[in-house]
Formats: sequence, C-alpha cells, structure tokens
Amino acid sequence: MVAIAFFMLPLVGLLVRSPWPDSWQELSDPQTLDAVRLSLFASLTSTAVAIVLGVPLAWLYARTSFPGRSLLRALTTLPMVLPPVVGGIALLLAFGRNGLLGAWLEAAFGISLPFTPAAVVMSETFVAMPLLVLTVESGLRSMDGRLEDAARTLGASRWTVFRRVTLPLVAPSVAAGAVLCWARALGEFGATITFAGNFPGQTQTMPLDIYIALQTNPGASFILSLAMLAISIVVLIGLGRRWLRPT
Amino acid sequence: MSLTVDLGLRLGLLDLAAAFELEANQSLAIVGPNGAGKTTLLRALAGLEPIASGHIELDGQVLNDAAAGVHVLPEHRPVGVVFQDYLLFPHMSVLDNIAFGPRCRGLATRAARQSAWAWLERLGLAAHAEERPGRLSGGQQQKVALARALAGGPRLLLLDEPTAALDASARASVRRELMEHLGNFAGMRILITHDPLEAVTMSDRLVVLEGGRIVQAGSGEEVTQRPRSDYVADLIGVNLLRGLGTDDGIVLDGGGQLFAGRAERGPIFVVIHPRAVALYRLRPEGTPRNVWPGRVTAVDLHAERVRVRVEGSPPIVAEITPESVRALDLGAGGEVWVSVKASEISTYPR
Repeated sequence: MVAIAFFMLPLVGLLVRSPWPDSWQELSDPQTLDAVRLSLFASLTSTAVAIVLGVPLAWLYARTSFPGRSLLRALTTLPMVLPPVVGGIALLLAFGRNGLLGAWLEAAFGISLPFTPAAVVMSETFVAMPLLVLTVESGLRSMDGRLEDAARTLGASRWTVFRRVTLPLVAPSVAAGAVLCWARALGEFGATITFAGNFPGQTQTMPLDIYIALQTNPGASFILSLAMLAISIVVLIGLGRRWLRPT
Repeated sequence: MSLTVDLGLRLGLLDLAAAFELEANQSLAIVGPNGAGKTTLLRALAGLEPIASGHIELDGQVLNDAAAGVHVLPEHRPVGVVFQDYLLFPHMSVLDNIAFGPRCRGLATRAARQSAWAWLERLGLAAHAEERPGRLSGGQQQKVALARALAGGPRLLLLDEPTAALDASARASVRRELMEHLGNFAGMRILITHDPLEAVTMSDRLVVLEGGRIVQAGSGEEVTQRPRSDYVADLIGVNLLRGLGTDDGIVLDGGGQLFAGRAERGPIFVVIHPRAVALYRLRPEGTPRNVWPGRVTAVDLHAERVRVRVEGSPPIVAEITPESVRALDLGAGGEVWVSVKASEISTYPR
C-alpha cells in the first residue's frame, strides 16, 4: 500500500495542481514548441542511430567470441549505470573543443560539436543505446542459433542470414529495445545539459525546459511535465501489449 | 560421384576421428550413443564445424583440407541437411521455407516459389503452402524440412535423426513416406539414427560411432550378426561378452568360463541370444556344460517376452516367457542358476 501510494501520489499531484486553464497557452509558447520539436527530433534521431549501430554490436556480443569481449561489453553498457552528468563530462572531454577527438575535428574540419543539436543527439545516444544493445542481445541469445546454421546450409551468406532470418526473428526485441531507448533519450537531462548546454531553440530539450520553467514559471513546468507523462503512458501501453504484462 | 571423409576435430569433451567413404547413390547410416559425435560429424560435413585435421572430398571437389587450410563455407557446399528438430523458419510460410534455398542459390523469387510449389504438390501439402510451419503436424514438418533440404539440389543429403522428434505411432508411416521421397533423390545420403530398424531399412551401410571413434562398419547384416560394441549389442538385444578362446573353452575377460560348440582361439567376441538363456531356481541336472549361479537384478516386460538381467560371472540377460517368470517367482528376485547350451554360443575374432 505504501509503495503504491508512493508512486501514485506524485502523479495525482501533477494532475491536480496543474493550471489546466493555461495549458493551451503554455504549450503553444514558441520556446516550448521549440523544445518539443527538438526533443522529438533528437530522441528519434538518437534511436535511429542506436538501431543502426547497436543491433550489429548486439549481434557481435551474442554470436561471436573474442578476447576481451566481456570487458568491452561491460564498458559499452557502462553509460546505463553511470550518472548522466558524468557521461556528459566524458563526452565533453572526448568531443569538446579541447577534447581527444574534438580538438582534431575542429582543427581539421572546423567542426565544433558541443552546444549544438548534434551534441544533444550524441548525449542521448550515449546514455540510451546500451538499453537497446542489451535488449537485442538477450533477444538474440534466446533465439535458436541453429536456425542460422540451417539457413547457411541452404546457401545463404552471412549477410543474407542476418537479413532474412536473424533480423526478422529478433524484430520484437529490436522494437522493444528501440522504445526503451527512445523513452530514455526523451527524458535525458544530465548528459545533455553538460555536453550540449541549454540554448533555447538549439539544445534546450523538454526536460531542460521543464527544469528552467520550474524556477521562473512553475505552472508551465507542470503542464510540460504532464505532456511528458502523457508520452510515457502512451509508450507503456504500446509496450505493455507484449512486454509488461505479468506472466 | 563419391565422398571421401577422413577428419579429426575436438569440440569440448569430444575427440572425433572418423574416416569412411561413400559411393554414388549409396546411403550410410551412422549409429551410436548420445555424445558419440554423430551430430558433430554431420555438422563438419555441412561445413558448420571446422576440422582440425584431415580432409573431406565430394565428387573430386575438396570441401575441407586442414593441412592446406581449405574450408569451403556451408553456403557453397552442395550439401543439404534435414536437422533433428527440422529447424524450419518460424517467421516464413511453408512455401517460403522451401523456396529459401533455391532463392539463395540464385533463382529469381518467382521461379523459386514455383519450384517450391512443385515440391508441396508432390508431398501433398499444397493446401498448407501459406501457413506457418508451426501449425503443421510433426510428420508434415518433417516433409517440409526434407523438401527444403532437397530443393537446392544437393549432391549429398544429411539427415539427423529424422524421426526422433515424432511419437512412436507416427514414426513407421513417416519413415515409409520418407523412403518413398528419398527414392527420387539421386545423390548420396548419410543418416544419423538411434533406431536400429531405421538404420538397417534406410541405408546400404552402417557405421557405428562410439566416443568419437568408428568401432564398426559394414552392411546392416554384418553389423547386427557380429556386433563389436556393447552399444550395438544392446540395440539389437543380444549378450556380448569378450574372452579368450583356449583349448579348455572360453576364458571370459570379466571372469567366468564358457564352452562353445566351435570357438576360435585367441581374443574373441562371444554372442549369446537372450532366448537361448534358461533360468532355474535349483541347479539343473543333466548335460548342459554352461551352468553358473547368479542373482536377478532386473525384470522387464517386452511385448510377450520378459527380459531378466542376472548378475553373475558372466552377467547375462535372459529372455523367457511370463509363465516361466511366474513359475520361478522371479518377480521377487533372488538367486538363480543360468544355463546356456554350447551350440547356442557363437564366437568371432576380436
């Protein structure tokens, strides 16, 4: 009972104390709209990047063995447990103006990543991709690898096997991983504010906007929080069909 | 058209070393206990397992040559496999499962599906073409697996325990149909099985694999008449003993002595059919020379006969009628006398 109340009361508070009459006005504020637009763009882009990069990585972890595999696996899932602010600082040290790669990028191409929308995408990908990798990896592990063998004996190359057998069979895991990854990216705060900053219209995502609004215009932050709550509920329902239902 | 295999490989606890040859149109059955390396051997032939030494050659084409570092990838071998639990692709229709091979081997989608259709019609499964394989019965799935393996036109077909996943009632009819469809297949076949009947009826030659080694090879008749391993002896249900033939009878390795009507000298195998073994509660009077005491350790009913295991020197299995079991009150176990006529004991060199 205590646990339920602990979870439910904050949600009720959010619903009850929000200035509903002002909601439309708050939501249509240009700065808010920019934040919503940027949040959707950055979270979807980072999810796409995570799928493109993460699925092959998950395949590598699930289907091959090489020296140092478990260490590498641990390191690439580290961002999941790392405080996001630390992740942001790490990104800054790697891709910042004076960072390991950042300094070279700036010198060679004049590219400066920090405090740009690209940095938002990078922060979100960094923090959220491990969720997708782990989900897809466990999906691959629970799939019968001998189906891939069977496909090989039928004349399919490794790539054809991946495309026509492996991928369709782990598609549910990829979808679940992508949703988790997207939700995590949407809510990302710490790494983003550290590596990408908080410039309205440039790098200010919804969570940043909510946090800033809380200090100046609490009503607006409540409404924005409600909007994010609605998004989360939609995701939960979408997932719940196949995933979160107790068995 | 021939297959030459001479390979060695290690996988976990298994140390596999096997050599055999197969002529065009011939079929070979590999029998052996679990863990003997049968499936690993099959996977090596399919290219799914690398070999550490030796070579595999099919119709003059080198598939493996460990010394030269040659390993032809599975997708480039003219080898079809029917896996033990079929491994049909659950996300494709039955038709697409069969069309998968031809498509991968370069046929256009349309042509591949047409050839798959022809297979389904031949197998009487055309009505199920668009269904997922999970909806088919075990026997139907097996036919689809066979069609899928053959649709690519392999020259060597490997079957891993094709009827093991079926229940006993379906097995005989599925085996008969399998033989029918295999009759049209012109290539070589290798069949892995636990079932001695399957081994003898579905293949020209038998190889017995135990602990990664071939312990016996020959025709079905040779292998079953003169078993050279406990595994085969158990499969066909005879007592197999090892001993030394001397002028004073056979001295058994495990202790005990037997007299055969006609026995070779030197190390020999001794085969005694369980039906030739008689049991008594009291020491029998009269002529039989092979009489020894023992203790009943197990009594199993097999169809109309009862198999009684007797621990003694040597240990032996007797097959007697249920009436005798009652008359001797063997259900209670206890001490018995075993007797075997000398003329019922056959021997051959080890």
